[in-house]
Amino acid sequence: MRFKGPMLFLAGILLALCIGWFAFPMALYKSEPQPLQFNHAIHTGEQNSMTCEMCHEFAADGTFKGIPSIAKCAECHSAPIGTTQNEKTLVEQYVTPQKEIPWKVYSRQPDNAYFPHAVHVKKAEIKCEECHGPHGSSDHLPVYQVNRISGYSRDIWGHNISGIPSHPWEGMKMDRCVRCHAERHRDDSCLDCHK
Amino acid sequence: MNITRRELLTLAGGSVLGTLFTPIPWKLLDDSAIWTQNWSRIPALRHGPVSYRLSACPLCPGGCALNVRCVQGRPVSLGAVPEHPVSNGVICATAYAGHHLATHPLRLHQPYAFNGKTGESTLLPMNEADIASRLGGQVRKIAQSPSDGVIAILDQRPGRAISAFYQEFLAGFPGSHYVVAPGADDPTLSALSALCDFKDLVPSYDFENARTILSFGAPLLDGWGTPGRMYAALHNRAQKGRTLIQAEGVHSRTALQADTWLPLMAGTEAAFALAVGHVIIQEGRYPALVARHVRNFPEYAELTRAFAPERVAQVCGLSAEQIIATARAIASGPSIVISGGNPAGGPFDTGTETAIAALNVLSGNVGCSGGVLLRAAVPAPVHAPKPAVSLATIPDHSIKVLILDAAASGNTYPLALLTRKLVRQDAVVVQFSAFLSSQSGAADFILPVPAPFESLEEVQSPAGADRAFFALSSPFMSASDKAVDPVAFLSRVATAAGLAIPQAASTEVLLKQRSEAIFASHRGVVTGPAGTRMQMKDTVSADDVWKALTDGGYWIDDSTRQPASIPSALPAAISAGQQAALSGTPSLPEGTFRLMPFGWRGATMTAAVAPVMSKLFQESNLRALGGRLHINPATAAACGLADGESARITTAAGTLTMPVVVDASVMPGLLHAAVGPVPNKTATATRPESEGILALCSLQDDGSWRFTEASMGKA
Repeated sequence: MRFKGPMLFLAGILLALCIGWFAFPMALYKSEPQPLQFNHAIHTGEQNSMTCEMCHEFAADGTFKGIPSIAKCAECHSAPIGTTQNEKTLVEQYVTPQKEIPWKVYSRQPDNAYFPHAVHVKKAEIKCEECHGPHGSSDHLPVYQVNRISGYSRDIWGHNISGIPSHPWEGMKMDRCVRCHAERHRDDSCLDCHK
Repeated sequence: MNITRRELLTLAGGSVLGTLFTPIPWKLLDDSAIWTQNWSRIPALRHGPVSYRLSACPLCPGGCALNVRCVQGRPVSLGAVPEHPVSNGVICATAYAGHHLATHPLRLHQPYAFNGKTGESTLLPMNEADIASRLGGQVRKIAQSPSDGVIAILDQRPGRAISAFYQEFLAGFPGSHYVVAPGADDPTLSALSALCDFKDLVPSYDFENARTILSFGAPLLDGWGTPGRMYAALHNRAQKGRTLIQAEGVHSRTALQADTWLPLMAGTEAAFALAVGHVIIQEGRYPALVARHVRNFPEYAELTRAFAPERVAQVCGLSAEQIIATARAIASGPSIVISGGNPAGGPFDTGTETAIAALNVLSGNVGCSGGVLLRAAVPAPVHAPKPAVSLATIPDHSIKVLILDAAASGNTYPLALLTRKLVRQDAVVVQFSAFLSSQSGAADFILPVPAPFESLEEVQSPAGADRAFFALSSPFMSASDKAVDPVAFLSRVATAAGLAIPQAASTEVLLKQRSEAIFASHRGVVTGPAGTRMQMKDTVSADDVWKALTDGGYWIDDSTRQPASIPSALPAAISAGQQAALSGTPSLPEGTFRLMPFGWRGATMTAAVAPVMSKLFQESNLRALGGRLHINPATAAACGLADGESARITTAAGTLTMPVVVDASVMPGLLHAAVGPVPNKTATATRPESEGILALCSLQDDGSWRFTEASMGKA
């Protein structure tokens, strides 16, 4: 065949592109189930009208508590509210034995990154959604995918393997911190975030 | 279909090229980098309950209180204690990373013999008992035959419980010396102590009530004394009716923030001080009591007669009007005149310090609110039997055994100050230190002591503090079992020497005795970690005091009633040599400059600063790095040097090449040489850092090394 060589070369390129853009992400990330499903919408919707801060609260010393403890859940869910399987699991497996729920955290950062929520939320008045997306209106938790090499959630890199975010809130890498600080004319010395 | 090897390679080549346009290589690189951060052998922060405990910072004599944040009992950050009466909720940059020092690369983990003096610079591991035995033999010989050389201990931070132990230890040796390290005492207060009879009281500065403060280069707003106290006293000065005048040849950070900066030619400080005295006397702006009761007033008036402002203005770089205005400001109300605060340049020469200190006497501000106040000393269990001396007063080549104390003074000094005091042969220098420092270069034996925050350490009244203060830096990390307690070691040496010398079990025992002495004094208030205040006279027992102190509390003395009169004197005369120097800057020969080392307290060497702070200094210009020469653009142009180029500096003591920083804040003719951390691995775990620019400084007879004549050219 006259163009066999170039065709094979092109085939190699195409093969690599297919593997790199489609097979590689599937191999790189693995899905892990959350211990139970959580419906944010039912908490923040009209029926309950809860705000983010009511569960994801700040401690008296200004530190952010992050994911609420089981004691916080127990304030309302000491007994099952409704008949869903998730509700039953929550009360029976976690609230009653006072055992913390081993949530897999989408936004977990390494220990050397120091992110004070109080400064960003209270002082800079950045809304939760600007970084975490419209979690508050979702009726189920997204699939938790973990990077097999780094061990961090796929949400840190962003769902698009190219690293180009599909939504403004996607990705929690350092370049996003730096970009946001630059846009707001904030200082960005190493020790601001890396203590 | 047959696929040839060529075709397979073509396919592979295409795949390789294609791969470059996929995320595979780049994402793998990124993820692999992150993966290396999470290896199991890399220390990870603990997660768990957060707790806080109080302590005090032992890194310099500033006496700052610390709030230690611990996770699962392990310290993760240090912070200030709000509303603390001494440190006012402020700590310095060095203290923030103080807990990192325990893992400093230059940390010493076992006793060593060091042969740095031979040029091989090898550390030889040794046993503490062997060193004690060998030192015991030397000490026994000294006790039997002091004419061959004496023993001396260099105390880095006098006034502590261990200082009294050193003095007791030395009292058993005829001719021995208890030496205070250069820069350990405030030079102005030391000079004032020579002019005034303070008896058992300690002079201090009343910045909080002063109207005018004239500083001869003291970095009052950049690390002097206790930073929190100085900030509280000197911010919002206009509202308080307070004025800060900074006189120095560098537009320093304090000069930048001062109300007036007087760009004083380096080396003319004494002439300027005497000119200020001249104006005060000629205009009759001194209190009548001074003329009547202060000794040598007529002689001082005569001395200053030659220093008319018009004449001094010609040599010190200021106008006569500036000198007159400064004199009037000092005489207008409560004032303080202060020098010192250059941890690498040391004090001025004795004549200059005396001339500066005398202005406090002349303006009638000694013993007065807003001037130099007197306070009682921290109670001590025993009266120190051995008076302190300075290195300059010890005859050269007279010390056979020199022991270097471990406390962090925040200062440094030329090693020649020590080495020229040693006998020419068989001298032994023993250094107690947690780190391999520049002073280790002079040591024969180095004994590792606990790092900061690994043992109980004494923190007491910083220089110039207006009330006696005592606290303990309580440990929140455990010390290595090879760490040496100087008290126990010296007691072991005494035993090995077979000498009947007072011994003590440990530093902690001495500290407890001091705590008991404070309790027995019935003075002051002890504040516990929870803020509970116990009047000493109402305190139940000495154990209550000890517990409060070891839990992070502190003791503060009552205000001291000022004596009705303080016998004082003014300098009557100056030596002929000083007269020539004081009359103005002798014009330097063509191509000659005035070399002045400078540094910041607690940041004068690599071993004194946590590596993260050295990096921060490098990146932020918060502190100058060591080994850089700051010169005025005019000086640089005269020598054909540009920023970043290397200059060769030559003095009578030698030659050194170092990079130049062209810096308009330095006055022409001055070579401002930074002494500080050098984070470029000049020091290693087996080799102390070089002495750098300090090795080039000329030592005066009085032990000062502030200015050295130097020539400079392109390297």
